[in-house]
Amino acid sequence: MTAALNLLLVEDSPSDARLLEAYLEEGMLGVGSIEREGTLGGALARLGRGHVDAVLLDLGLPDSSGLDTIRQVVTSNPEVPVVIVSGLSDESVAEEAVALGAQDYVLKNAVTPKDLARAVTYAIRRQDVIEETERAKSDQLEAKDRFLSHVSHELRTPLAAVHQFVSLVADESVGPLGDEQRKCLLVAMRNIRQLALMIGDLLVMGRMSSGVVEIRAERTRVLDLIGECVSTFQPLASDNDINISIDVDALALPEVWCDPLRTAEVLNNLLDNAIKFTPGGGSIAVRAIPDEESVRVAVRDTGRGVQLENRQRVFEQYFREAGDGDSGRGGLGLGLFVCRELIERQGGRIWLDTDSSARGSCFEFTLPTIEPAHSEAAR
Amino acid sequence: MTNTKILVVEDDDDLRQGLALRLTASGYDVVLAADGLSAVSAARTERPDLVLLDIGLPGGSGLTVLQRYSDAAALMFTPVVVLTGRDPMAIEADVRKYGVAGFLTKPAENDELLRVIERALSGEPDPAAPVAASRR
Repeated sequence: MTAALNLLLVEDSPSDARLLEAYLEEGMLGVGSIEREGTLGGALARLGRGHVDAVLLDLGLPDSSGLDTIRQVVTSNPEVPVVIVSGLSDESVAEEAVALGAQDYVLKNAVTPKDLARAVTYAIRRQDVIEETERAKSDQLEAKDRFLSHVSHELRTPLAAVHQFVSLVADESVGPLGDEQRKCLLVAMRNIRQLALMIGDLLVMGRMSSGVVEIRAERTRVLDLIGECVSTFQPLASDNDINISIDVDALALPEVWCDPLRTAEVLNNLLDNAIKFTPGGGSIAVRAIPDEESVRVAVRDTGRGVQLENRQRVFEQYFREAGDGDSGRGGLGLGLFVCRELIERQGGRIWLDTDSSARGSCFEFTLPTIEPAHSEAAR
Repeated sequence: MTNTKILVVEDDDDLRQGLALRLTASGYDVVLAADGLSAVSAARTERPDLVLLDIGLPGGSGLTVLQRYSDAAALMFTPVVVLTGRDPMAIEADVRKYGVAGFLTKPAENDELLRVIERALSGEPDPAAPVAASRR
């Protein structure tokens, strides 16, 4: 046994209290002090000052009774083990007490000194075990995030080297190629792109759970963002014979409060998807219009659209429609999940327009035109 | 007339060579550095028109290199394009404090790489700034 234990006995009846104190002193080794409080208020105040190893708690107190007493003690002091000492023999109450976080439930009029001592000792041990388990769990989660971030980072450089050398051969920078050879290298390039997407998703997964994604909102012209994102995708779209147009009345559009980097990530994701699911000859239109205290941005394509039964699910983690892998450009199914996270953290909304009469799909999101009340709202 | 000279700073031997070949094929003169220290000394002696800079480097990270460049009168106006494997969400804001001309994530598409380099060389302001977080 370690240092002497400080016990807190919360009991309003002086005679019961004396009896329990006597039991503890008789049955339990290592008791340093037994303090007594007669009310819940007094108990909570005493617990607030710390250095209590275990609480023995009567449920019927002048200022609180029943399970609510446990709730108040456990929620304000989750780290202190609680043993209920009750005059009431009721199995369902006992079970509920334990479900609420009490470690044990003993009956005042039936308990022996030895039993009471054992209940308190075990309660303390169990609480230690719970804390160790939780610490281990959070260490593991942190290790997982670090691992994902590290792996993702470490995979990128060799992948970039592979990408560079394959592309040098593919575009004949280092000598002429036959048609068959070029075809093979194009397949290799497509798969390199897919790997890059997946590695990006690994990173996203790690940082979403560890909460490192910081939102820095500033006054932003959405049209500039749209223009830049669209120009990034223009070459890929032309390669696939897809026309991208921007339909924005610049004068009518107010500035928005958003993090330009995060918003660009969302737009890039939506454009990437639109190109992925739109066949050659199709088109993609990006619009932005004022909408009450926000600006609404829509990315509409003439692609295959989203199956009716999947429309509610596209923003879920790891969700991929059957056939997503066909094009060889799929990630891990985190793209739209991340989009939703990023938009909502900026005080906006994102959804899939479910107008079933329209062909293709239309993803829309809003960004606020007024400054968020406090920048931490975005966290 | 002399060609445009690019300093490629990358500690991975293969990728450094791959990038050198790519940029040479696109008509640039290329000089190389494999760590943070030589990134600073090579920039002083070679006077490149642009630096393509990795962030995770031995001998002083890319952020330290950016700091040294911005402290040196002779280098503070040399455009820098960052090409990194690090999580853009974690470092892009830090990198951008130094006013870099472009930010790309490995592996960058060649079209985009060359476009960002050309734009940086032309001295245009950097509209690509927000796009840099691209997942592609």
